[in-house]
Amino acid sequence: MSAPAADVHAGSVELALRSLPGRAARLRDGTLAMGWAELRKLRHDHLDIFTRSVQPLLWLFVFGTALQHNHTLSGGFHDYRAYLAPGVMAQAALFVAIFFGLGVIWERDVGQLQRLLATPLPRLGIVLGKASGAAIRALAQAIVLLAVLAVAGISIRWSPLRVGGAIVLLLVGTAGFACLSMILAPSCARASASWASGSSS
Amino acid sequence: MSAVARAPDRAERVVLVDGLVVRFGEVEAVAGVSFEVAAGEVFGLLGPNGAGKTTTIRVLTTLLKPAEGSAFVAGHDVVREGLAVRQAIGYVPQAISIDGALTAYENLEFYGRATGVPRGERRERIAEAVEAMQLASFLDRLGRTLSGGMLRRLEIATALLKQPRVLFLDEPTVGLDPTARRLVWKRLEVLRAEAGTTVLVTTHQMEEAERQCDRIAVMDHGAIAALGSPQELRGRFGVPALEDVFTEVTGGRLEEGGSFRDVRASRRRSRRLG
Repeated sequence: MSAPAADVHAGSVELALRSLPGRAARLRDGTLAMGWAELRKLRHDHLDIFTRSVQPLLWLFVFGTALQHNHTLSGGFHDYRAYLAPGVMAQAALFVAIFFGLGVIWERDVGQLQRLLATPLPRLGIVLGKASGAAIRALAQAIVLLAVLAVAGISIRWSPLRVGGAIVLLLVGTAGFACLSMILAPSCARASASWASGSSS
Repeated sequence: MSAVARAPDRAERVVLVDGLVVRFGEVEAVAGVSFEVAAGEVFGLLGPNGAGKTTTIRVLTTLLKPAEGSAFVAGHDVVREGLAVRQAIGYVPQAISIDGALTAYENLEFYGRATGVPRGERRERIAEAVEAMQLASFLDRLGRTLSGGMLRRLEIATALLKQPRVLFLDEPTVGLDPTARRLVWKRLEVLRAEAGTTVLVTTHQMEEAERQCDRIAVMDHGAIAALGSPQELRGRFGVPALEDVFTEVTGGRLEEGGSFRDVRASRRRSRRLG
């Protein structure tokens, strides 16, 4: 009895290994399809990038300028706004990431998520595609911020390596936080909605 | 009895549901449902809210795992071969599934990609769907600006791109005017003739079910209360219209199913769909 069972097991492992390239291709295609949709959305609301940039810029200029004159708080930096800039960039990226988590809740409440889950798209591809969308949004905001910094003459160290490094970190960080918020948000929402929902038919 | 002996059947019976049970905590939403749908058939699931129609469809589209029983779609087990099932089906849920931040055309393109329509055929398939569902006038408009009828037609168009073997439509004609409704059914008939697509549809519209479905299952309390062709059902209960069958079977009770969230969602939806 055990020999055929072992055979079946070996067969399924072999099958899984053989289907690996196919899976990788599906994951790539799925991620690309989701990413493509996110890019298209960004193109439609490109104004959104600017309106979303207002808040970080307010932080930078209102708080940054105000605190610059307080030497205890600003720690004796030559330009407190330059010190604040990376943090503001990260904060804006975090907002983008949280927004993607909320987006998943919204998509579940309308039928979009169910529909997506019933397509052959790999689950991981859906998440990765959305996360890359979040990263690209954060990148767009970072570019606006950097442009404002340059125009306003706030002297950060403009070394290509450092700026490039910061952007790579920003992309990876935003994608990671977007994944985290996509994991957390639906489970939080389920907890808060459970008082009202018995079952859904 | 074994799966092997049943295998030849499975190809013809595109949907095979056997003793399906789904529980949400204490509540048994689907309590031992069994039915079969033959290839090319239009099969209607009727029943009051909370009867378990949508839950059954959610199991068949691999979104929910059943607690007991088995279900095969297009010859694949919905639990163990989820991917194969998802590759063979099209699904239009009750709630709006179009991405409001994309244009109608982009939605078509996205679902073409998502359902694995080969790149070379995508343009052609989209053009066909646009023609069939008469979407040409609003292809460049964002999803969130479309009216209810436009949304439904677009949704059905996105589900048809892949020419699925089985199409699951959850209340497809809610919010559609009679003209649009006719358009939808006409397209489904064409698809059935051309590609042999099997359609499993839930509806509240008795008249529509009577006219369009080959066979009907009336569900109540998570079980199938009556099953047969519209004529058979009318004959069996000795009533002139399917609506009377419905009342007879479900006991004419007022519907009590559906949670607060369902009600909120469906009200929001009907407001949206107008």
